[in-house]
Amino acid sequence: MKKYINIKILLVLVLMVTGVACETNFDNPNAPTDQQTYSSREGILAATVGMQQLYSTTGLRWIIETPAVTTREAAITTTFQNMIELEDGGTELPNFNSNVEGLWRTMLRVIKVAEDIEANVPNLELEAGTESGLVAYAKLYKAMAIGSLSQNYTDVVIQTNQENNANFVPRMEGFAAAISLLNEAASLISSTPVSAEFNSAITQGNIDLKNTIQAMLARYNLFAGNYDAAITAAKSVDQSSTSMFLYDSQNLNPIWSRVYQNAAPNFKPRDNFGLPEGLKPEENDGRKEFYLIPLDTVNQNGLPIENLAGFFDVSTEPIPVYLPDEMDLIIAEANLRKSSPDIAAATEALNRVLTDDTDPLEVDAELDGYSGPAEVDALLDEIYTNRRAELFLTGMSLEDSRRFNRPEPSGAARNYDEERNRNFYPFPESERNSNPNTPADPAI
Amino acid sequence: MRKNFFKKATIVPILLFLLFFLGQNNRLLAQTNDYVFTGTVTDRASNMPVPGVSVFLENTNRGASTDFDGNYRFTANLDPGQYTLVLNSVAHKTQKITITLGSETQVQNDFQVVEDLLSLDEVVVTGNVVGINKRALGNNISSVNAENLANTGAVQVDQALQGKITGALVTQNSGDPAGGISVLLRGASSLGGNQPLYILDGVILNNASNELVDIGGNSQNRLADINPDDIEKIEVIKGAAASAIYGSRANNGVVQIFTKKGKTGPAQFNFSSSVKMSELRKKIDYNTAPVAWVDPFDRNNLETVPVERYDLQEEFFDTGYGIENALSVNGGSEDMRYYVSGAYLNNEGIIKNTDFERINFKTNLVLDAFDWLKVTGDFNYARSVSNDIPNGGINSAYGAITGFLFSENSINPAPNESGVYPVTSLLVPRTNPAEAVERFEFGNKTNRFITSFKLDAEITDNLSASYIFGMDYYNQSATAFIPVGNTSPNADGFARRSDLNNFQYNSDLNLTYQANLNDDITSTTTVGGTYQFQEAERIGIQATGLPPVVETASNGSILEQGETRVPFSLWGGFIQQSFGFMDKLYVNGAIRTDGSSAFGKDERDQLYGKAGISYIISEEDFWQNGIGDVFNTLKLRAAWGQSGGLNALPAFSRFTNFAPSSINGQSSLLLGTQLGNVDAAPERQTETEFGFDAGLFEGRLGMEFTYYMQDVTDLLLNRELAPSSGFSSRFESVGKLENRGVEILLRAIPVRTDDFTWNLTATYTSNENKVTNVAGQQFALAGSFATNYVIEGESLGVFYRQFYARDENGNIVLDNAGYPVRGTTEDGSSSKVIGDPNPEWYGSLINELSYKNFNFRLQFDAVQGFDVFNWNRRLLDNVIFGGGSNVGEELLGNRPKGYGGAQAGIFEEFVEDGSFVKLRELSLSYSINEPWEYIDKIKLSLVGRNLISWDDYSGWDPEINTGGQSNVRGFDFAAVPIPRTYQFGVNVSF
Repeated sequence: MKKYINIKILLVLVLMVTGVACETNFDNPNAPTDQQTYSSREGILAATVGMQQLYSTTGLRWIIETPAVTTREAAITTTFQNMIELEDGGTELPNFNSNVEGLWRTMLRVIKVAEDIEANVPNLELEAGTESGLVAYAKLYKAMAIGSLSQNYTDVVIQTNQENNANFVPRMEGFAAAISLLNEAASLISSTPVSAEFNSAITQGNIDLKNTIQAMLARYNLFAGNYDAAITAAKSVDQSSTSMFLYDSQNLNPIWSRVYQNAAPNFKPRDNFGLPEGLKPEENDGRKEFYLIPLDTVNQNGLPIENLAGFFDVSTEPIPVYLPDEMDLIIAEANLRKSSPDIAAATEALNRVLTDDTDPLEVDAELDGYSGPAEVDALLDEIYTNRRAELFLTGMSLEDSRRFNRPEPSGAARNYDEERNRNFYPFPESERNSNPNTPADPAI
Repeated sequence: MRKNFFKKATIVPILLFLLFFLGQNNRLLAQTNDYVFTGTVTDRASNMPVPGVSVFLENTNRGASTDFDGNYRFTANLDPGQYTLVLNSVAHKTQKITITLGSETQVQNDFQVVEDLLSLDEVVVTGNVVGINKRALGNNISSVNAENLANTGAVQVDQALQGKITGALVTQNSGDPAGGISVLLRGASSLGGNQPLYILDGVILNNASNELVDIGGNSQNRLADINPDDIEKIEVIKGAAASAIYGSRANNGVVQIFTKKGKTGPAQFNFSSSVKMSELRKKIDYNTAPVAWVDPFDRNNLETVPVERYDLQEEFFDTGYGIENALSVNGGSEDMRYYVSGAYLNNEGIIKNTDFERINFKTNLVLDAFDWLKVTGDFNYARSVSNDIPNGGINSAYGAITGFLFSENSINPAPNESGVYPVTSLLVPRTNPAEAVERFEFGNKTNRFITSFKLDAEITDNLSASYIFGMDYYNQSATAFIPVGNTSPNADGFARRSDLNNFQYNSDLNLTYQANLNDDITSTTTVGGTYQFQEAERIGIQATGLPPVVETASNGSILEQGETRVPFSLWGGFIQQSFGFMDKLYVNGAIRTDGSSAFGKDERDQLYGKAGISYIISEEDFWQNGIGDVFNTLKLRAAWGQSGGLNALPAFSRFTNFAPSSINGQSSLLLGTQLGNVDAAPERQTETEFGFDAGLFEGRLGMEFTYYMQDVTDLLLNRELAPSSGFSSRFESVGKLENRGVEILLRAIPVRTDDFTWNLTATYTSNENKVTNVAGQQFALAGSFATNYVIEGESLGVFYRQFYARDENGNIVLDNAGYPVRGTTEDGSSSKVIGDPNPEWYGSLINELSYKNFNFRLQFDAVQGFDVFNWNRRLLDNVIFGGGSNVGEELLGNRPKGYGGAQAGIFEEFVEDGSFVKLRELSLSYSINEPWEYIDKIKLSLVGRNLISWDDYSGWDPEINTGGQSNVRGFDFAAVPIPRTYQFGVNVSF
């Protein structure tokens, strides 16, 4: 009898212990690994959209906000330390400043994804036009990320390294690397045109890949001093076509969220795009009305500020990848800077911008043509004013301020009258901590 | 999914079980008698009856506890023969009597017991699976019983532990009514979580601090769901030397909670009821200057205008009231014992409109199914509901106290006639604190079941088996609501709802073989296996841009949502062997192997070992014949052990993961910032401890001394990578840290007469924590505004920021305008270590006086030699905000205008000595025995908690931590101070 009971109990027990299966391996239901992502068509398409998303949200925030404060396009309206440090500027700007760090880090993340996409696409069985589209797209973003770094740091990394040992190249080599990536991308899609699959999965008609590649070629060739190449590329861009980054309620316009979200602005635009006396845009420049909403006040450091409009006053408003008029400004400037300046061609291109009233993005100056002296220096000043007005908050102001030889910063902090408070940013502390190849910081 | 059905971790114990079970001989059926065992237990010194002592027959489950009059009675059906009758009690020495049972079935045996302040003969379980006499342990173990947990004014279990045991720094991190509490045993041992493993009657408890909505530097830890009234005893082991058999979860020590069980006899009712009152212990100084600056930003513009100043602390602090009722019934027959209880708590906080409500039900049944099989069923249900007001917050700026810190207090915070609250923070959008407490609605609701099913089988006289299946499930649901049109940074309104479903179970099988190898040597062998599973599933949705009235998050204009599921399992097995020699020399050792699903395949299988020795030298004849009369007991002990920690590696962090997202209807995958590392391994602690337990003067003085050394290797660092890697960090098992410390416990009975007893307990713990290797890096701990750092050669979480420039005499250097300036170190850094939040030592002094039916208890707690970072003052004293007392001083011309603003960039200024001594508990109770028929006892008590604090801290309370239960310590930013509490209670037993 007792034995019988024992066996019964035993059975219950064994059932109970074994009824609970001992699982020891779990798949992550929340996120795929890199291997899972890169080994499937869907994964690599989603990673490509992710690369664009990273660049157009977090990336654009750092690209635009950081030099905007340094060169007084914008003035801070917050007590957050990173913004205070940025506006104070000078040699005191710490290398752990989150903008200095964020711009560097985010661009390198974009570069890493672009490298991985480029490396893994050939391993998948994809339609030829999809493959060329994906590789060209990755090259474009890698080029834009390297270019954005080269605009703001003296030396840049053009190839990531997971052993904390990435090499640095001078910024001009950075531009050169960006240019060759863009040239490769251009020839890739011209020899194998992108497929319908690529367009529907990635650009969805919002980004004109061919034009964007040429526009970026024009931009970086100008910065690199390859003026003829810049003019050629700029002229090949169809100015009636636009390329836009789109946002939604989950991915807000990154500048709107810094300026408008929660009614807690981190910065606001400066009166007259922050331009100094003598270079201010004309009173009736239509771009003032486009970008700025008059506000009669100053920020905590006494800088006059306005409210922001343009591409940034609605939470999900698209931001252009580039402005079509940038091409004419490139043509104008390159014609003046090339070894034998062509003043007539420059003036003609400049006037197309000044008199523009049919801009596809409605950035219309609606002014009279250029009437100043037909001299290189005077025209360059006018082009500088126009770049600041037309290309307001596009992240190019620090590069422009240096290239147009605007006054050097003194190095002293809190000198709010200076046009720019840094020439270049220091290399981020996190890079210096781990990468022995990090060069010395620029003096200012 | 079920392919691992017969994983070896499970199958081995099952086979063992089968083997022993089937090999069991049926006991010979012989003539048995029903014996009745009775007797009285009295104290040898006072001759008073001793209640609550258990008397039982060794190696059987037959026994009983003494009643109020010291009497015990139980019956047993036994074969005639020799038996050992054992008396066991926490506070007395164990006694054994050999008895011979024959034809006389009435067996009377009286005991006289001797007090044992060290509880050397207490039977403890934690760290050993089966009950083991404390004298056999090589390690120190602390235990706290029900009497010391009751009448403390505490409403949470861990809170009641404050000051009660050595080696445990128990900190209430927030004064909210269910404010988070951290328990740090012998110092931090990980950069991940540092909270111990909690076990409730064999069920592994979840004690997560889930911040589902940001209520500001405070999250409840889920131990808040446990009703302290149900607890019989808590055992605490503090390091690897004792906890090795808990494997990879044991690095932070183990706290085992035992709840009350039924006792054989008629139903015993116990009803207790109390009312509580909580209040702010002290206000901080604020700006009372009758003027305000016209331009606060310009140091040279000294123009002022007259204003009226308000005490904004009045707006959000208020006295809170609470009630607590509990009823329990216990009793049972020979074969079945029960304990049933219900409890209700509702306690208001000192922040307006905050409270915590808890309902608990518990049923525990113990069934002697056969004389060899005991079945225990345990069922606990808890519902915890808190109404919270967001106060501070590292990530969110909408809190009430955050608003207070940023407010210019010359603005009347009261709403206008249409009910619109004015903006009181002029520079940056921060909430008018009066509005936050009136209009914001935040809260947490938790429904929780903790159940277990346990079988204890006596398979043979020597072999016993125990199996437990324990489950802990809860759903925590949190909501946040800020109505549209308000003064917070979320002016458009904010709503959030987040739910967490946490399900976990453990299935443990243990076999124990006890034998006497010869007359002198006893041996105990335990083999065990465990499988533990956890599944935490979270979902959250939040929105800004709310329509009026609507409180749900789904209706906002900008939505964010998220969902995560994290499964986890751990499996392990161990073998433990101990030998005892003549009840005076004991050695033991154990090996545990286990694996956890959090780690890569090559790093899963970990082996941990432990060994201990204990020698009760006072049992030797030479001792007894020599100084034994005065120096009654001396036990020398030493222990060594290893354990693991897996909190530092989040699930799936060994992989490089992409974050799923979408944009404009296109699904996307975003490369994570964390580079995977499949070589990450569990952290490993190696601990050695040694010490002694001594008893003197007839048990009137007892002392425990322990010195310990903990070394943690393979410390998981989320190691910073150069951004040029494309990533931010990678987990690497490269760090090291160590803890060294001393624990002393002193118990004494200075006076004892028939009517009057004075009991004294003192504890002292010093710990030195040092991070010895972080691979050449230093980094800030998250959640401290980059103030608390991990730096090689320093204690974990030291304050590392800007400091004053000083001249050679150490005086602060002022610039030409008379303002302090930042210093620079020799190597050019503007930051250095400016403070340490880890205490040099902490301790307590507990006096308990009883005179006839009066009982008086007084507990002082001291935490000394630690720094607090007063972030509150950094904001209050800054002229650009305006509400602090030093801004008032600037306005009155007592210090330069903007001086506090200059200090704001010099963090050293705000590092303050947090050392305190607190009058933690004061209780006076009066008992009436059998006032009426059927009423056994009525006890009235008056309790005060946190009544007085002696400290030099300029904030509300130095015992605070906005870092909550994390590694950030001593960080005071907009946290709710711990209230002073009064409680009046009645306890009736019938």
